[in-house]
Amino acid sequence: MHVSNLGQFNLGANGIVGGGIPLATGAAMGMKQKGSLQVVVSFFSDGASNNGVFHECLNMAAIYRLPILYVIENNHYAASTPVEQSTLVRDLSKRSESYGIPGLSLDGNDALEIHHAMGEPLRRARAGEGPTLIECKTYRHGGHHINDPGAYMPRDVLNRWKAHDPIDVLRDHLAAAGVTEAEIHTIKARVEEKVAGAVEFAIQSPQPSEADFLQEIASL
Amino acid sequence: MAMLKYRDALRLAIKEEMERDPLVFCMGEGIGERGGSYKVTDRLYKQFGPERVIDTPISEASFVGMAAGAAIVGNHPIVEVLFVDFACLAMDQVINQAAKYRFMSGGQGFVPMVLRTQGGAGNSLAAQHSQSLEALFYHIPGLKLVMPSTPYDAKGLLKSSIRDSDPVVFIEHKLLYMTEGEVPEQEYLIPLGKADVKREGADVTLVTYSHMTLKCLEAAERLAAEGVEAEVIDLRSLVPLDKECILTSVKKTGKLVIVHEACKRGGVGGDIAAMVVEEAFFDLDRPPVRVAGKNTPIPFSLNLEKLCVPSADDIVEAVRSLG
Repeated sequence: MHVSNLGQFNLGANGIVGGGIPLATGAAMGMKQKGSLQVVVSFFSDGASNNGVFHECLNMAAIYRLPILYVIENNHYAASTPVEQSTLVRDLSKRSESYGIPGLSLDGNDALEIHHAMGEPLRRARAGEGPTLIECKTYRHGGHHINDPGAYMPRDVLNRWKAHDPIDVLRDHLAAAGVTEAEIHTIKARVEEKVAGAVEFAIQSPQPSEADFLQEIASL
Repeated sequence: MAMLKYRDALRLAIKEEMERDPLVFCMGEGIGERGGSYKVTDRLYKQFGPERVIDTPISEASFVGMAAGAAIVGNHPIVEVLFVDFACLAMDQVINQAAKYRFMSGGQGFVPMVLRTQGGAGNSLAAQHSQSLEALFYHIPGLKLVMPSTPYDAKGLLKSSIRDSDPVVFIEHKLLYMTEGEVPEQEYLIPLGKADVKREGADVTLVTYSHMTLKCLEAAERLAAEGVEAEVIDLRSLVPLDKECILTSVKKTGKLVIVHEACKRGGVGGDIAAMVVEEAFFDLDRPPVRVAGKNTPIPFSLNLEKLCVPSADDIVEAVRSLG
């Protein structure tokens, strides 16, 4: 629900939809105060862009010219609610206009397109010009959680998006750039090994110590 | 020593901490050039500038959350919520985010922020500007809660709160801002979690905090004239709570009266009474008594507003009723 890794500048995921947007905005304010060149990137969903704090934070990031990128991962569903039902605006990046900041909509399944588009938002942020709203359009491959079969997702739309899998898209870019099948295979194998290792580590790891936990919370 | 108003003691605490540590900054509505609605941040904008004394739009949920975010990356924000009633707009960020981040991140990150706010009745500001909401914060693991009653306590406790590595909800009382008291010229800190015996006595223990401390002291003077010596304990910190101070006093007096402006139901007083009964039942000669605000939103009419908040008379009556 809320994994984080502060050592790698990942302040974490949030169990409250939109709950991390103010935290990210505050982190950007903190960075600016410290005179740091670090840019904060706040990732959230299409659903979160309807939450009050989204609007308040974009407004404040704009007026304070905070070094932050707001990234909407628009996977077209908030749990089972299609985005068309909750939001009249089709390109969510257009909401940026309400706050006087730039917005751009991208193919969220094309890593290269996104990478190329980051130049200006990052420059803007580092130059102290303020935030950018970036919408990455994408689609879920299944339901909202493990027990949700996603019956509400139209099969034809789902299949179209599955055929546009981000890993396949990137692989095609690499091939077009001259990376060989063998090299691609090596990368894939290495990643699969890493993931398998992580899964094994998780399975083998002991449960947290109950005694330690009880002692730790005694001082809360 | 100097005679300072409560609001000026708070201002000095903020000023000194901002001078000491460049990572301390303030944010809130109207706190900049205007110096704050209660003038607590007066002249700080002039000294520290708009980068460190930040006026916010009316966006409580977000700017409270931003304070948490800035704290997580190492800054020390003091975020002001103009009326505690408005903290309700920010409850996700206070309860689900700030209070829980250290725990959820497994201790990787912590949230050294102070949420300064103000509450209480007495200025005919009506239902949405006069509440006592400390019980809401009291109930949440991960938050600290401080409510000073004097300029001396306000300064020492605010400095400690700013230096604390956990989120501190610091609730001032609107009727205390202009009260005066002695404050040392030299720097001092008051640790969180220590109550203050404002008046010693052997006959009854009055446990209280914030503005009601003054009412309790007034009641204690009247009781003294009747030959009853009341011990007035000003909790100062509600979380952490100075249990030992309360229990030591109850052991001495055998009688406990808890006084707070917040209404009785679900109030902090219920928790304290239960704790004393659980841990010092055989020290008590009488059941604990709570004197609390009436169970109602606060009326606008000054005369009705007065009825809703405990008076010194109410406290004296409660002590007499113990027999």
